[in-house]
Amino acid sequence: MAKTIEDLFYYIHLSGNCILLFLFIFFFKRTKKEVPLILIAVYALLDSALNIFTFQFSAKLYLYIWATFTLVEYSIFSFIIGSNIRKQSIRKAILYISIAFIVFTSFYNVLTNFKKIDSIPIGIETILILLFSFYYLYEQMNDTSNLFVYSKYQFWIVIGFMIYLAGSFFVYIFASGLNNEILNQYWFFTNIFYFLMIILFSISLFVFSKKAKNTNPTNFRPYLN
Amino acid sequence: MYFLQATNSGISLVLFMGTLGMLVLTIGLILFIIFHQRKVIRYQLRLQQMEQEQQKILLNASIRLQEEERQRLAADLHDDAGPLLATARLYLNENLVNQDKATQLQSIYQARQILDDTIQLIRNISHSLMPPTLKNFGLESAINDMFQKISGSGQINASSRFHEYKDRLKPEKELIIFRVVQELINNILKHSNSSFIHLTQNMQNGSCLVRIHHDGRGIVQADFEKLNKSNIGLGLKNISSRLKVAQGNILFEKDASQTYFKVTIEIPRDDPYETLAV
Repeated sequence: MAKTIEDLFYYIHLSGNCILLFLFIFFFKRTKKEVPLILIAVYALLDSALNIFTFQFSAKLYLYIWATFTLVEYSIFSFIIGSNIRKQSIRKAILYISIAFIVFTSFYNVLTNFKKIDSIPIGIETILILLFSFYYLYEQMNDTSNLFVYSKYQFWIVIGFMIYLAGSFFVYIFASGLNNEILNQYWFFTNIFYFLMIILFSISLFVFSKKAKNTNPTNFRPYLN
Repeated sequence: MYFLQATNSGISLVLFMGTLGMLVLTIGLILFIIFHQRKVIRYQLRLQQMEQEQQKILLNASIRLQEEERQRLAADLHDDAGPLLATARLYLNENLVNQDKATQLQSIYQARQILDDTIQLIRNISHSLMPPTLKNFGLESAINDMFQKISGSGQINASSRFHEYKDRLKPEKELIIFRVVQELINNILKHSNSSFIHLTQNMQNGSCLVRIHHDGRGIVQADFEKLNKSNIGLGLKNISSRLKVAQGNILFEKDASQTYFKVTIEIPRDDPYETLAV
């Protein structure tokens, strides 16, 4: 029974990715030039591929692939947030922190013989991304040029990161110290919050495509008379 | 580390509560930001609305003032210049050629006299519109001239002194200060019942300061702002709109000794926008 429920959340996780990818393809005409939206689609695609295929790999390779995915995930999230921050000094700070984090995680993955999950890099990644997200929201709060913060599609992407990382933070932190039985009991948290993140990403796609539709009328003809 | 060594039920509790806590914090923060931004935007919209209303009041005041000025001009021309010219025409009618030489000379002399009066009248109207002293000799001379005229009436003791006015302001700024001072003096003469008016000019932090003291009844800043927002006080609204154009300020206050009323006009020497453009 428990296994069935775990599987259900796993499939919900995968179906979320499918929905996002479907929407991305559906709105491709409008979204093809928007880097953050392309990146979230790439992220969902990678996550799906790893979830489907990595079961076949050896335990060690499986762990290293997922540890590398942490780096990819961090890079995508930090790039999206960093590219939407206006203050130059903060963007630079994000760049330097990201380089330091990538170097640290690379060494950690090579030198540490972790057996379950790379809890420490994930924990640091979560804290860093949450901090960057808080700063992004703070900047948006003080920006009076945009009428409502949620009218920007980037806002939905960032709160997606925040909900997913905040919701799964404790599970990932505890994962390396817990036995598999207890871990499996709580692993569905990550699936639920991942699904929520994907829903928020989908909202961002809708928000963007709606805005793009309103700003670029296709049947526009200049009045030449 | 303590949490990681705890029992299974303890870990479950920490994990559950931790996740819940993180979520509550994150969602709380997101909601706070959304509501705070909405509050700020609502506040700004209200401010904008108030600003627009104020602008509307000032615009109405300036239009009304312009209309009043036109009516005054029309009345002056119609009631004074019109009859004078009509009288001159009467003296210079066609029958003049049939009359004897003495009568002709008398009529021409009368007509000339009337035309001189009319010229003087039109000159007065023109001077009230744009004082030639201000145009030719600047603010200092124009204000000194105005104060001398007031003092010469013998009703009130009026004096003015310019301390730092070696370099003249731009003509448009001089005109604004002159009109504001004119309006203030007019109000003092009409409403204050004071025995003296004293005007001083100084420069401070790149701004031209003009202070007017008087010992009659006056208003303070709160009264000025109240009158500015109400439908009465056309002259004060006119002062506000003129000062707005010159990026200037005005302050109505009572002297520290509580004996005199003081009005301070502050006009920046350089236009801030022009400085930025350079």
